Amino acid sequence: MDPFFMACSLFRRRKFEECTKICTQILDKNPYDQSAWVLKMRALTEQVYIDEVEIDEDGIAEMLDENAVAQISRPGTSLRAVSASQNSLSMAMRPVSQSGRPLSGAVRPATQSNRPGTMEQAIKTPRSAYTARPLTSSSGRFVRLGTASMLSSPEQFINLSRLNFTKYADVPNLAKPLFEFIFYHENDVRNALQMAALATEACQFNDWWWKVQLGKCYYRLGLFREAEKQYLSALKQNPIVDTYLYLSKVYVKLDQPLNSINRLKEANEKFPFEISLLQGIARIYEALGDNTECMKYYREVLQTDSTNIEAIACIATNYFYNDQPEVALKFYRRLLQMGVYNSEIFNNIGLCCFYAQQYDMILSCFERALSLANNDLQLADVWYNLGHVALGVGDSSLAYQCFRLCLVYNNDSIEAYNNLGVLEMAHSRNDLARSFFQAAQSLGSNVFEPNFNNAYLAHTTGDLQTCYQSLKKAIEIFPNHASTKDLLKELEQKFSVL
Amino acid sequence: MEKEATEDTKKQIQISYDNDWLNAYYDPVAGTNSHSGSIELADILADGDNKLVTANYSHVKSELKLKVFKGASLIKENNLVDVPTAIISFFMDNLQPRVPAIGVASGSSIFVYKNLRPSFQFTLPQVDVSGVEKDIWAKAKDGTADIATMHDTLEDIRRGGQITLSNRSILMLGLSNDEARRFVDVFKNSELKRNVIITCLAKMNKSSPDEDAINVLLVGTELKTIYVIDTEAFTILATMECPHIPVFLNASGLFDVEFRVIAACRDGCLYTYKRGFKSPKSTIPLSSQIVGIEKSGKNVIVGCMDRSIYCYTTKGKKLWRLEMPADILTISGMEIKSKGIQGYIISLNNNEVHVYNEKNILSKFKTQDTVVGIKFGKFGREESNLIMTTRNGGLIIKILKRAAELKPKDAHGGPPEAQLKKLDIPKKTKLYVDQTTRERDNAILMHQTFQKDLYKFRIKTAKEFLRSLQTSTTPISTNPNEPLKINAQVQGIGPTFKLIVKVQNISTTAPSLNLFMTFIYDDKLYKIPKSLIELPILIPGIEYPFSTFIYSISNQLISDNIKVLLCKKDSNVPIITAIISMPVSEAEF
Repeated sequence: MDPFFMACSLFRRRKFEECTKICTQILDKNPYDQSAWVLKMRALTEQVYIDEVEIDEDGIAEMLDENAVAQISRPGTSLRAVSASQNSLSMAMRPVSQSGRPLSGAVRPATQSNRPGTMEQAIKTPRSAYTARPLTSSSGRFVRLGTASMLSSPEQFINLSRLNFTKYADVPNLAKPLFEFIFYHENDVRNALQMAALATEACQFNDWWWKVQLGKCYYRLGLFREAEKQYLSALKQNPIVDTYLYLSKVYVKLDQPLNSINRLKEANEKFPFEISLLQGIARIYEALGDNTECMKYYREVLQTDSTNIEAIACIATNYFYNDQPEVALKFYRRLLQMGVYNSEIFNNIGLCCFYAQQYDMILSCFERALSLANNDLQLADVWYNLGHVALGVGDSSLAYQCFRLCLVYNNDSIEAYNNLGVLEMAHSRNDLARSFFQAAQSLGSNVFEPNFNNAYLAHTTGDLQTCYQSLKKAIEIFPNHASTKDLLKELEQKFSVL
Repeated sequence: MEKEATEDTKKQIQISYDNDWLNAYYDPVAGTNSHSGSIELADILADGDNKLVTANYSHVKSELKLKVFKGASLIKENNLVDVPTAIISFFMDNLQPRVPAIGVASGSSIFVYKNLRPSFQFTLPQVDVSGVEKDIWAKAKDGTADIATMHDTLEDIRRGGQITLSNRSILMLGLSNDEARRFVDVFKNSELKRNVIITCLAKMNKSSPDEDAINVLLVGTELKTIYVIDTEAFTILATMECPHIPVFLNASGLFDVEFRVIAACRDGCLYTYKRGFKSPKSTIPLSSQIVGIEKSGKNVIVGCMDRSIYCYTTKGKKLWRLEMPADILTISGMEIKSKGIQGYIISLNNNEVHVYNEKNILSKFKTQDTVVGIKFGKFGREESNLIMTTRNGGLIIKILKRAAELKPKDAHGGPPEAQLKKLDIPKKTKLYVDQTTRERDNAILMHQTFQKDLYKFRIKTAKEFLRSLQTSTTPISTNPNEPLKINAQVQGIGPTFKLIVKVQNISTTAPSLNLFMTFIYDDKLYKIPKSLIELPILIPGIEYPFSTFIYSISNQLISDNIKVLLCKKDSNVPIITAIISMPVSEAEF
């Protein structure tokens, strides 16, 4: 059989390693075989190809990003200062992640992390793979995939520094695979940009594809305004879904979520029933903390694709925190039926059962969640929830053990520290309680409960200074917390009395 | 829920953009640093055109000024010798045309200005100092006193609180030993007297109720006295004793017939005086410090530091209390005779100014800056002007619209608005009903299953908990011998990280001894230069931070856990352990 035909066939069957091998052999014989050269490039690219639309983890360098126009924005127009303060009572109803966002139903890139306000905060944040951690752009997924493949092929396939881009830019058949190779495999954005710029010039700026690629390069380089220009120009020539998604990402980066939503809605008119667009809108609304709109769009997603896991999970979470655990239970069961079989799902079903008073199911679900957990953080979460079940049963020593076990698996669990503090306070071991609250306070700057509890404890023991300081912190995080406000008022009255 | 929120904000906006006032003038840098007591509106040139006079305080002596404004323009500036505490306009003669004088109180003197020129200075008589203090300084004069003992005795007297020291002694107390010696050398020969510092001014008519009749001045001093001063001859007509230092005065009536003086003092009490009495007729104790007092009919309106406005009768009976949304900064009276409106104006710390009549709000608006001084009255030829000075020395002038109807605005009866709001409680779903039916039908079975599970679960938890204690993997130890808590954080972006471990002894009494800290890590990935940290004695309740650097030496982008062990010497099991999941290093080592 013709080895090249064989290689093509392997490529089609996505056996890229073998395809690369055959191409290498062909190229060893005839280094100027362009078709083999292109095929090898494509095979290598496919191995490390990532969906550009989904990757959206903010890096540590992003903090120095000055693209956001307004430092202090009007409420509801910025992703930066999103906190529960906007929708008045949400913080008491729905917990937040360590970065202060309301919990989402699905874990995606960027649901866990938030743009940290200052460099200091970013460096200080307790960082592990699952907590709010700022990554640098260089240690994100791009480089890791790139270098991993580099390691496997010690001798370099194409030496970019010796490549004459102008020669290839004129030939569209060669230029596009070469660009993708440079962009994805080599992860050399500068050279990719140069290549794209030459190629788009070569086709007299008539090819939208090159414009999108230019946009991608600019986006990676952090030149969002230029990326926006390229995408807009590409959209004028040929409106496709991907470009709209890229454009919406640019606006999110520029901290213009409303603009981003508008673009997606505009695209949705052109491409109705396109899930990725609807999902995109829903995600941005979620990030903005607008739950009603978010749910509306997730529902639309479900109308088109009734097996969309993200949508089901998010809707379920929303029902759960809106006091309808029985409905949430139904959604989670649907997920289970669809074959999602992991620790989280059983954990959630267990919780829903507990709050919907279906007691016979609770503990078996949690047990299964414990046995399915494949990392410590999942275990910590399950033990934490079991602690709540124990509290509900009224067995405070069992709850105490559960929270302690949660701490074994996750040393940074703010909630567990806080609850342990409350338990100690109930047993009037105030010194211990205080040390737990202080630990919780030092771990998380976005959770108001330990601050309030510490204030309450300080108030009962008469340490008004500490009480006032803790209250100030709590009210900063959650301005609408009624008990904090009451206590603060009482204190202020006390301070002003003669 | 959201809909109601927006309605709420709308309502607030309606009130805050009150359109009873015309914005006449705003100068953020007018340089008028004056409080309500040092702003006056008076026809000081007798041309029927009221001028605005402000006395400005400042830390810089050259900026202590008396400013006169005609309209928006400054027509005269006089330098002041000392920081002004109050100014007042009063009539001191019977000459025609009637020209009021301006009295500026600063230090122990009242400087009288007439026709824009300084004309007279009246200084309150000095007072003898107490015998003890005199003795001390007499010794100093003889040269027999030791500076240190002198300092100590004076300090004792000051702390005793019975005797008020002279300014000289107080100044000396603030100096270091060397400086004090020089200070004593310079001043020991001059006679020791106590100056009387004026705190506040007020006026009332002497014998005729006419508006331009001759006034007497009431002067409150740091000596806890109130003097009544005749303005024709500048003699002290009467002296009233105060239990504490008066800071605000309010006087009504005629000095020769019958009058009533209300003094607000620094001890948070109001004292009322009547003609012929040296000591107060009645005392009104308040629960907080006083910010300002104002008369409203026969009652007294008092603004206090607890964000409240109180209303008392002059006999001391509390009538009502109003709570303000922010701290009250100043209060000033308002009277529009042509409309028969009497009220008072208060400025709040949130940049709002409210106008009240009794306890009804008449008008309210936001200002550009925090208002610290307010004066309402005739300015220029226009009645009803509101002069406001801001915290940063700005000047705001507003004119009450002629068509403005100042009527009580929030005279709403019935239940408060919040009561009408509906709570956003989701309806019970059909699912819920189904589930409760299931619960009812299988109650016994469900309960049994749950109890059985619960027993199993208790055992499982206890086992796990025991295991964690035996392996010391918890970050808290409740072992009664070594109750400790550990908490570790990693900072930095790599390849060098800083590990900060905080250890706290959570026992109440016993300190922890003989502890050290060490780490378990993969030596192919990380290097920790200080792999053993000896802990000092740990006092209960204090968090001790310990730190070390961690170098990531691998060039592969992987990360691992590092265990921090806290151990006791001569024991082979760690007391507690903290596990840190290290972040990926951003750069290669």
